[in-house]
Amino acid sequence: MPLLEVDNLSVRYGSIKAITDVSFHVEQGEIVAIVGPNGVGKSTALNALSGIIESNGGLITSGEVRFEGHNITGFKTHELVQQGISLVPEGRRIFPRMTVIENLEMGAFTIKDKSIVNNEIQRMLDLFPLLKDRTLQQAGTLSTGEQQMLALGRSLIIQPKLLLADEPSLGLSPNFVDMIFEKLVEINSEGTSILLVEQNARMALEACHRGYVFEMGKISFDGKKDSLVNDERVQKSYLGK
Amino acid sequence: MVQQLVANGIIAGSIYALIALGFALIYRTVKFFHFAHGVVYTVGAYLAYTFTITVGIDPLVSFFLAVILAGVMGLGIDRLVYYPLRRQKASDLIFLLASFGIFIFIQNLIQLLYGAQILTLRRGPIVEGHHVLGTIITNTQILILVTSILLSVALWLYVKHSKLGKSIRAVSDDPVAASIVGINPERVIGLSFFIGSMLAGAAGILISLETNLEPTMGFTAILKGIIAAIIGGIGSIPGAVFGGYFLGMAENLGIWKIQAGWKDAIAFGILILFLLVRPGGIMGIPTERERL
Repeated sequence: MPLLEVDNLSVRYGSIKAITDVSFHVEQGEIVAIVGPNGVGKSTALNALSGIIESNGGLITSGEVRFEGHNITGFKTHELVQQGISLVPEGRRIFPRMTVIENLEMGAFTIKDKSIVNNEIQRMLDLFPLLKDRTLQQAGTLSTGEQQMLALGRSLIIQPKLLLADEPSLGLSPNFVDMIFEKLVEINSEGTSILLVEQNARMALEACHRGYVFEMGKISFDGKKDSLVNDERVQKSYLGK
Repeated sequence: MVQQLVANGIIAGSIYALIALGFALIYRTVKFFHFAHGVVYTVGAYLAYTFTITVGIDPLVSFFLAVILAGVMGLGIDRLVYYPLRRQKASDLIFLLASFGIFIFIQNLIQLLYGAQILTLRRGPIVEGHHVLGTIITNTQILILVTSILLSVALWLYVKHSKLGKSIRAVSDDPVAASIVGINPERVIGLSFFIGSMLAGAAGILISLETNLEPTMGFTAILKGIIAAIIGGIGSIPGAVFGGYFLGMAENLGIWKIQAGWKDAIAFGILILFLLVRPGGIMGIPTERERL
């Protein structure tokens, strides 16, 4: 049984169809990339399963999302954390007026035991040493790359079974892009499955096990890493070869 | 003379600060002007009156009950009126109008139940106050000052350090991000209404120890509370306290040279000045400045 299954998902914003009949899945232990140009519904697909579309006026018109076999279609965003699904949202969305430590504490909001929270915060600071010197700094004053590290740390603190990452490399300097992808691979090797939505197809396809290519609100094709990287269409459109 | 005006300013400021605090706390999570906050203040005072005078319970117990009920009332206003509006994604204007509606409705209800005449909570003879640094301060005024400061500090510590307090700041920063980490924003909004309204209730009770009760008392109170919150930097907790005392002092020192009838004019003059020169308030934050 796949960890995450999305069947025939369709989403509308008002009268505009954002995605139509989209199906994909994530197996236990995989990194799955969703790539494609801007505005084809990649993030919409992710936001539909994380419940975020509700806050920006989207509506799931059909389809089903299952996590570990349970139907989680239409779950509210805050209910997903309890299921073991964590989201790194587009644009990072750290808490700008809270300190780095407080941001991590909020990431651990659902953990009741204070000693576990402290251990997990320490683990995140070890995973992202850049944040270590800045624990008491207001998160809004961090650089974009550092904020992305913090957003990633905040979402990993609950040790999610599935990490949803929405454009984690967007707006980052090349150094940080490399660092983010290294971290994603590292996290994955420790057992967290990852669904990755990326415009940076080259990096995403490099890091993933499998991928889906979105075009105009639909999946145009999918495949394993090697077949995608060597696919003529992918090379021409997304890898610039 | 000046010392007495300063003392009066501090006492008035204590009340303004409490109202501004609750208003600011609620504003942080919902980002609209909860004008009906003023009528919660009125209800706090009338509940205290009902429990102590009509029912005859021990004043301390009845004040405590009144504060809790004021909190419940604020929560009720949110659940019954604002929550359905949030679900419909109503505009800020709708929220403001709804808030005015609640204010007028409850104010008229109070008038219906208690009558429009003035009521007095204070019992017993008027005792002369203490002479401190050339001023006369009554025990009631000391009680107002001390309670206000204690509640302000308690709220500040709560929001700064407790887990739920931090979740209020998280929702204030970004409600979607808060839900991403597993916080239910609706529960946090409810919490801020409950706590904020308890503070309004407490302010209403404290002022009714000093002056009389009338159904319309919440109107000026909320205006002053809002001005104080804006002066301090809307949404900021230390700002609300600062704004409250600043306003209280400015009003009272202002009438040193001008007639007392100009008090409100001074308050609004300061508001206009701040909106023109520093709309973000003293401790305002740029992101909030944009919203004003």
